[in-house]
Amino acid sequence: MSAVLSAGRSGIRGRRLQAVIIAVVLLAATATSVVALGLLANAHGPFDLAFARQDGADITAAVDRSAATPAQITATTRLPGVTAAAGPYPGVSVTARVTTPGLAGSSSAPLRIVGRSAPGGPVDDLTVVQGHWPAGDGQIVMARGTGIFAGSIVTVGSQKLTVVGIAVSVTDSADAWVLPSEVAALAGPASSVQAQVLYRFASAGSTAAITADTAELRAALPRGALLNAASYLGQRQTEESNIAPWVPFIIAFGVIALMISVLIVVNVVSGAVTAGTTRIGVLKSIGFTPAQVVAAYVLLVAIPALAGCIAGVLVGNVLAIPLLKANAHVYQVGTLTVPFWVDGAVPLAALVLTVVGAVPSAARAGRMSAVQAITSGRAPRPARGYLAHRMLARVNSLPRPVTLGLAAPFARPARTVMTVAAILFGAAAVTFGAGLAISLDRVVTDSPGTALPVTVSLSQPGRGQPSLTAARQRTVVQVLAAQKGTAHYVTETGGQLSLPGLSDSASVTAYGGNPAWSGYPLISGRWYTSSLNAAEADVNTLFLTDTGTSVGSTYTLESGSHRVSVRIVGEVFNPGKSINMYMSPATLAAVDPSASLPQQYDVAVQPGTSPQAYANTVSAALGASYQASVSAGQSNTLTAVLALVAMLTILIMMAAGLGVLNTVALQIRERAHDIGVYKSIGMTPRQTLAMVVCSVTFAGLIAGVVAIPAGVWLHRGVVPVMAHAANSGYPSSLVSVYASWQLVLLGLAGLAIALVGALGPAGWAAGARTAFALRAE
Amino acid sequence: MSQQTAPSHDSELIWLDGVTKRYDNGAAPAVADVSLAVHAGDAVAIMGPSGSGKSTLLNLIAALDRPTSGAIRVGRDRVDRLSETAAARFRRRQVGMIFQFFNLLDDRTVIDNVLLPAQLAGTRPAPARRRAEELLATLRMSHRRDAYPARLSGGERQRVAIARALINELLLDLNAAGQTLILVTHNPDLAARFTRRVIAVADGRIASDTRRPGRTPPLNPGASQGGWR
Repeated sequence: MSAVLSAGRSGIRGRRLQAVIIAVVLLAATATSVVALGLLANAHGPFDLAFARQDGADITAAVDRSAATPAQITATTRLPGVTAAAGPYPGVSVTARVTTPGLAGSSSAPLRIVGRSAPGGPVDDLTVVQGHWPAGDGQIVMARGTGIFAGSIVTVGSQKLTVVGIAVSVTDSADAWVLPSEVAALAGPASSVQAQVLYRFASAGSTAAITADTAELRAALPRGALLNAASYLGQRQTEESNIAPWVPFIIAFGVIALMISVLIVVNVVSGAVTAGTTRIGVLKSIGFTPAQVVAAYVLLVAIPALAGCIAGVLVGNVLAIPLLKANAHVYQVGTLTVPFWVDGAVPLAALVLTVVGAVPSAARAGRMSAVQAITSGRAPRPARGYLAHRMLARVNSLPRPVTLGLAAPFARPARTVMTVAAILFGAAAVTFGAGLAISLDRVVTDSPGTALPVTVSLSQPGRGQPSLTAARQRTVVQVLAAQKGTAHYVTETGGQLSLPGLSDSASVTAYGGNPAWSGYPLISGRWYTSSLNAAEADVNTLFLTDTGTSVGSTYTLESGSHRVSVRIVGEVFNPGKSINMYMSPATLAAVDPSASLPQQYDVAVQPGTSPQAYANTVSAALGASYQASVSAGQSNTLTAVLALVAMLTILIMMAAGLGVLNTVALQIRERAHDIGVYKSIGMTPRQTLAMVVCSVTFAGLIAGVVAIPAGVWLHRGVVPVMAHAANSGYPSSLVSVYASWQLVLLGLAGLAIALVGALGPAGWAAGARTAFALRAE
Repeated sequence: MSQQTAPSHDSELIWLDGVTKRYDNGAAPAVADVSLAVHAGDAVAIMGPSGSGKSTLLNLIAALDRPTSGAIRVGRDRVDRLSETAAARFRRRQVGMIFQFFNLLDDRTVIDNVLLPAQLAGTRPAPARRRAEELLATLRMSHRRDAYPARLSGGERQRVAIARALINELLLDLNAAGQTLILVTHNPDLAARFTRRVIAVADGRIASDTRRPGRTPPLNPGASQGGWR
């Protein structure tokens, strides 16, 4: 074994450049794959961790207390499949008025309030992150994320409750909690008190298991008593969208990097076997078995590959940290790291691929007879490409060094094919990465933040933004009309509506004016009409998914005693975890009369107008009672992802460039003597450079042309998967991103990779002393 | 060695002064402190055992390599100071090399091997091809113009190498000084037959430099050599 190791090591010493290339390319491939798998493995990580820590409920059930007796409800906690249960807790859905200290006015908020005497329990062990649990009547604890802060006053009917704390439920089991004794007073005559029961089941790992568990509950209760059974799986799926959208493209980059690695490995080992024929003969003549020869040649790439993989794991972990950190923060579950199994499995898989790529060429060395190998004397000259040389020699319109270079790839067609493939993967990654960047940019630009960058409202921040009275609306409209740079504007009214049968409420936005100005792209259908008679709404994909509706369906909205059936006329692209609805102010007012006045104006400015300068002028014109602000730019996460796309694209380009460098270095090594002859008969360094660079030009052009459809195809395949992972469909504008001129430019990426990759060794060949080149045989 | 020390005698085509070439620091020099002059039209044989430095000396004169120290002038060119580009142009213009093993390019036909120096020099295709055909005809190789070197006998390869060495000669506006030949060989008979001056090299130094009276014989190489036009 030591002899094989020694032979492998000495082989590496003779091919330092190839060893470095393999190490760097494997580094890129491993790092990309570690990031991809690390994110994939952690997509559910924070939720699962929090779910385990808080004994989250597999099913959160709402039971009609008028349809089932307390004994019947309690009996469900002892069903065979139930491993733990909490409750029944009294619960009620209400519309509350919220007043924030120091701010005038109030706002309405639909709340699911549950009565619990303590935050702890065998299931849904709440974490109080701020303040304390209610100590008596008149106190309420809000769920984190409702936007209602400690110290606020929540009014339900005639009951005033002070927010004394903020708590977290991993499955979002309620919007707020009070002591059980408070619930009956909150219910009032319009709404009935329900019973909330939280269950953990022995089997709850899949939708089918949850469906069976729900059926068991339903069967154990009187008919119609089980009002709603919310599964933790829905919540888990929704939370996954934090980082899940980024995983598909990172996987795509990882696969490309691995493919390039394998191609380079095959070229390196094949080149080593071809150039090392005498060495193989010597090894065999001194007693190496064929298997030992194969092992020595596999080690030639395995040793640098191992070094590259180890470095790649380190780099991958460093790259994954920012994205994992953002995801972990949501649940406050500390720092997430790439799982150990990813750190072990990825380099192992990369090494196995490397070895698998190396074995066929190494086996050729193993099969070679010692006598044949020794008598070859030197690297056998390729017996191919003569015709190409002959034909290109007759092309007088091109300088001879150019035609010499163009003919070179035909001498080693297999290596040329491998090189074309490596460039193709690199150039396809460029097309894919560019398209991805454009798509992500459109996610930002096709949104209200960009389309309507200036917001005018009353200067009272926080939830419960006060509405603009008719007089105030007139004031704002006058200022906007007089303001230079105003393009157009809409009024905006926001609110939350409980959706029957769902634990989450919907975020409702009513645009007064043309809703298309909001900037949201439509995936299908059309925007709602503002006619008073038409109750129409547009919704995002998550609404359709969670409610089982589609464009054209009718959906009934409820708020207190108000019920309005709206027709869904369009699917809006607004990915993420929240359910969004868009409707006219009239339709929203019909469902929630308290939301009849707009809260703000969203303004688009004319091209060339600075939104910030515009906002400042409007703010000054309106006075201190109003504020005009500019929406924040793209999120930090999106900036990080765009940077990641750019970095991965550059990494892949580098890997492909190194593949070219490797090919050209092998070519120069094999043809060093010929280059010496060229120089001895008058080839200048510039001509040598041109000849070597031109030897990969053809490969670069071909690969570049083929890479365009390949990259576009990859983009069209990955973007929908990303959108789906973000709980959304996608508008055509997100996949049709390439302009013709961009495709032409991207087509040159292959050529650019080839030229940049070839320049290094070409420069060496050009600068080498002629006598040195002549001796190199 | 500075330019000022160069002799001004026009008939000295090749001039070396204190030339040393080391491949490795600390190792013995391949060429050690060699000074010599070759007149235009001379035919000189450089002889010596293997490893004596004779091929290195030829490489230095042909600007294929650069000395570690010392000065080399060929014609008006200080070849030890030439850049790689200038050295390549110098070889095109001034040197025709015929190597011991001919160094023909295996994947090029006979005509393409011969044409290559002219093509690299940027000569227009028609005169270059005409000249190549003439040379092949003169060397009785026209019938083998489309053959590959592997199919040629040793003698035929030698003639192709000669044609390649001479291809640029008449295409360029050469001086009328005639050809200067430097022949590197182990063979004393060959040296005696084709040259009138024999320089013996041992351990990188000139061991002897002998001359015989008479005319320079025609070019007919049997070993590595460089011809200076």
